[in-house]
Order: sequence, then structure tokens, then C-alpha cells
Amino acid sequence: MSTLALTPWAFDWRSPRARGQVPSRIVPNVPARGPAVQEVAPDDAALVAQASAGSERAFSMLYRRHARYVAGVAYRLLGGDAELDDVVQETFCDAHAALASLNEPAGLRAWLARIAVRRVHKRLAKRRRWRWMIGEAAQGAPLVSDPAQRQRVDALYEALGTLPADLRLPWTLHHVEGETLPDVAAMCEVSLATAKRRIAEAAERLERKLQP
Amino acid sequence: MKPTPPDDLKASLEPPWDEVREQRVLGRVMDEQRRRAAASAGQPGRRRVAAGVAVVFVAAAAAAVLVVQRRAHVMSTPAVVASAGASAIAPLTAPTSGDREQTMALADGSQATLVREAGLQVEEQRADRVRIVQKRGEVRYDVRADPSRDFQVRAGGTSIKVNGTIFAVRVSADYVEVRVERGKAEVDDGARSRDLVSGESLRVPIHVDGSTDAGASDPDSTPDPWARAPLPQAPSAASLQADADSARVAGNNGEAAVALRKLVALHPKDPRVPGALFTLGRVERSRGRDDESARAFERCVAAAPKGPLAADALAEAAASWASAGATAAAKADAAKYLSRYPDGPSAARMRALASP
Repeated sequence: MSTLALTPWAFDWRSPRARGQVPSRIVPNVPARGPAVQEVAPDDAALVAQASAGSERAFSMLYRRHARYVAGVAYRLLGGDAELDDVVQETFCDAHAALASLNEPAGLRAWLARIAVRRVHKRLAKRRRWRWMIGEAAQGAPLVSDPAQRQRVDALYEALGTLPADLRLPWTLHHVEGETLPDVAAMCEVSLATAKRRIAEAAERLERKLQP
Repeated sequence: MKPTPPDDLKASLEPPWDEVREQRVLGRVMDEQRRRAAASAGQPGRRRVAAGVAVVFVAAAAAAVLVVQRRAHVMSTPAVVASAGASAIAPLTAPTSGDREQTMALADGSQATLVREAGLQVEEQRADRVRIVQKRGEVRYDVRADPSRDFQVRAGGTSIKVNGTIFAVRVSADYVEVRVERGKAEVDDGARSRDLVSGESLRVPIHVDGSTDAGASDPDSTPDPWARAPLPQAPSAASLQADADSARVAGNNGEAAVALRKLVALHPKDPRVPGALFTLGRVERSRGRDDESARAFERCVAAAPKGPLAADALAEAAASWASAGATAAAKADAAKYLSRYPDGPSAARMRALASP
């Protein structure tokens, strides 16, 4: 019997946002040296406008502001590190190409997440096809900073690896990323009802997989 | 049992995403954007493409008839043979001048990037066969892997045959130099051949009559680069970058600095150089060598004055000079920053340094 089965996880099904844990906003880097001067960084909307006009500097500032977030989302969705650089690169290349079409620059982060989800979806689907065709071994689970959780996380990602991307992504976005159901629907570019149905189906399949 | 991950799972699943990695991916993003911009700038508009396709279609039909009629002649004559479809994708000759780079998309999906007064002629390009004659300058070829396609570049009497390889060929008045960045290349002058693998390079002298030096057989005469001269096997920029990253992760900033300096010295044209210099600035600062840090940041600015790191590097150079006690240099860099980026994110800090 796996550790996973012996120690059921107590889990609050509400997302961090629903629990009032609003993610803090990224604070601009404060230089370690030099005079302590308050620096006011331009907001996303201003940088999006400049980057759309061709400013590489503005785009690189946007990248620096959001790359870690995109990398985190992609890492947990992919369940590993191997394709992370490629996904982050593709996400920002796609974003750059479509920046002018972004209607609400203030919603840049959510927009980037949608692009990243789309990119991860393609890779997971491809990975699944290869596994079906040539029996490729499943990708490893992500590294876990807390050793006590490693066995459970390995089991979880092994089970997630058996799910199609359409089910895996909404479940992971909701239960690991802590996104609300409407946000999951938006990120997966499906209706709210579809998102709920897919999350429920993924939960059911995972439950069967994780049965002792 | 419900599949219920623990509350803090997200927090414990943070990717190994550090500053170096972030910088590396940013470099790849910016390179890709420039590549796309260059590719789109080199292509005509949609209407022109549509018109070109129509013309090409008719020309291809006519060419097909000619090819059938003159097949024996074409097979035996090394004349310039380029299909009409191919000529629409890439010009038959493509010279460039100065430091401006020009990327050509070849019909088989490969690419040739021309730098340094480069000039080449695409003699033939079909799905199964590509023949390029490089006349002068430096060209970097990114050849798509396809075992069924025969891809050859000829330069100064030397031919280079590859498959799924990234390599560069430099033709000067005295020699042909082949450098392999990824994959394998077979270099042949008709008398001898040698396989080059990733990270290797070969320089073949050219005689006045245009032939290469492969025929030199007297062991007492000048060194024969094919047989006797050891291949320069400098570590690749990627491996040096990886060494520096590993050293930094291990907390060995001294080794990291050595690897970064070697990267810059051995691969001065590599796109990683500005990022390596920026990282070197940080590494030297963490070693307490503020003056070296400032110099590295200044070199980063000089390496890519309009690059994404230039503004940050200039500000960091000023800060490092200030920490090193070189007030005049700090002021100069701070003033330079303010003149270039008056509304930059470090403008307030630079104003404080420029007029303490």
C-alpha cells in the first residue's frame, strides 16, 4: 500500500483566492547596493504599449516580471523540468507576436498563463501520443522541496500522466495551482460547465488510479 | 479516497528557475524574435507571394517539360540548376555587406545566415539535393535533418557535406574555415576528407590558384592542417555556460568567473556573450571584486548596446564603480545612463550617483 493511501491529504477544495490568500504582486527588484531610492517601475499596460511599438527593453522588462510565474505554472502542469525552457520561450514568443491584439494589458499575466496552458497542452498531447505509439516511459515527477511529500507527489504525477491533457490540465490548475473554476475555464479556453465536468472526471479517474 | 493534494503542494513545487536560466531563456526569446523579423523582412507581401506562386507554377510546368527533354544534359553538366519553386524561396545569389546579417530560408527548410561581407550562390536546391557555392565571407548554416537529402556547400575548393548540422563556413583570401556547432560535417577537398563533430573546427589554406592545401605531403614542409595540425577543440559556448551555471549553483564563483571569461574569449560572436558578461559582473561583485564587476558590465553594454541587458548593465556598472570607490567612473556611467534612459527603471538611482 502506498504512502499516499495511508495518509489521505486534508485538502480545502476552495482555491487560495477563495480562501482569501491573494497572491502578492511582484515587487520590482531593489538594488542591493547604492542609495536606497524608491523606484517606480512602469505598469504592465505601459510596457505592453511600448513593447507593441517595438521596444525590446519594454518587452524584456515584461519578461523579467512574469517569466518566473509562467515557469512555475508550466512546471507544475508539465510535471517536470525537461521541457520547461522551451515552453517559457514559446509562451513569450507567442505573446510577443500577438501583443498588439491584447485588449486588456492589465490582464497580461492571465493572458500569458492561457498561452502557456495552450503550449503545455500541445506537449502533453504529443507526449501521450508517443507513449501510446512506442511505449515511452512516463516523465518523472517534479522535484519537491519537502522530502516528506515526495512519494505522494510522485504517485500523483504518475497518475496524472495517465490522463489526457484535456482532463489533466483543468484538474491541476484547480487543485494544484489553486485557480478558481471560472479562471480554469478561461485558461483552458472552455466553458465553465466543461471545466467543471472535466475536473470532476479527472478526479474520478485519479481516485481510481490512486486506490490502494 | 479523493485525490486531494496538500495545501502547500504548490509552494513545494517551485521550478529550479534562477536568474541565469531566466537570462538564458530571454536570450533565446529575443533571438527567435529577431529571426522571425529577419525572415518576414526577407519575404515579400502576401499579394506578391500569391502572384509569385502563380508565376512560379507556370514556370515550374515549363521547367518540368524542359527538364524531361534535356535530362541527360542536366545530369552531365554542372550548370546552375535551380527549380522555379526554389528560386521563389531563396535568391540564387545572396551577398550582404558590413555587419548586417541576412537569413535565407532554403527550400528544404534549412537556413543560411550571411554575415561579414558574405556571398553565396545556390546552385541547386531540391527536396533531395542542395548545392551551395560560398564565394566569400562567413555563413552560418542551420541544416534540417533529412537522411534522404544530400546537402553540400563548396568553398574555395573544399566541399562540406552535412545532414542535420549547424555549422559555419568562413572564406577568406588565405583559408576556408569550417566550424561545427552541432552535429557532424564531412569536409573534403577531393583528395582527403575529415569528419568534424560538434565543437571542432578546421582551417584549410587556399593556394593562389584557388585550390586548398590538402595536397601537401612533405612532412618537412609547412604543417599540413589535415594530417598534422591538432584540431582546435575549444569547449563550446554551451558547455562553458553550463560549467558556469554549475559552478554558481555549487557556490564556486571563482570557477564560474573563469568559465564565463573563457566563453567570452573563445566565442566572442556567440549570442550568449552579453548574458555571460552580465552574469560575470554579478559574479565578480559577489567575490568583492567591484572594479572587475564594473568592467564586465561595461563590456556587456559594449557587446550589445541595444540589447535587452544594456540598460541594466550600464546601471550596474555605475553601481559597481561606486562600490569600488571610483567615483568619477561611477558618475560617468550614471550620466551615460541618464542620457540614454532618462525614464529608465534605475534613473532615480543613477541621478543619486551622478550628483551625490
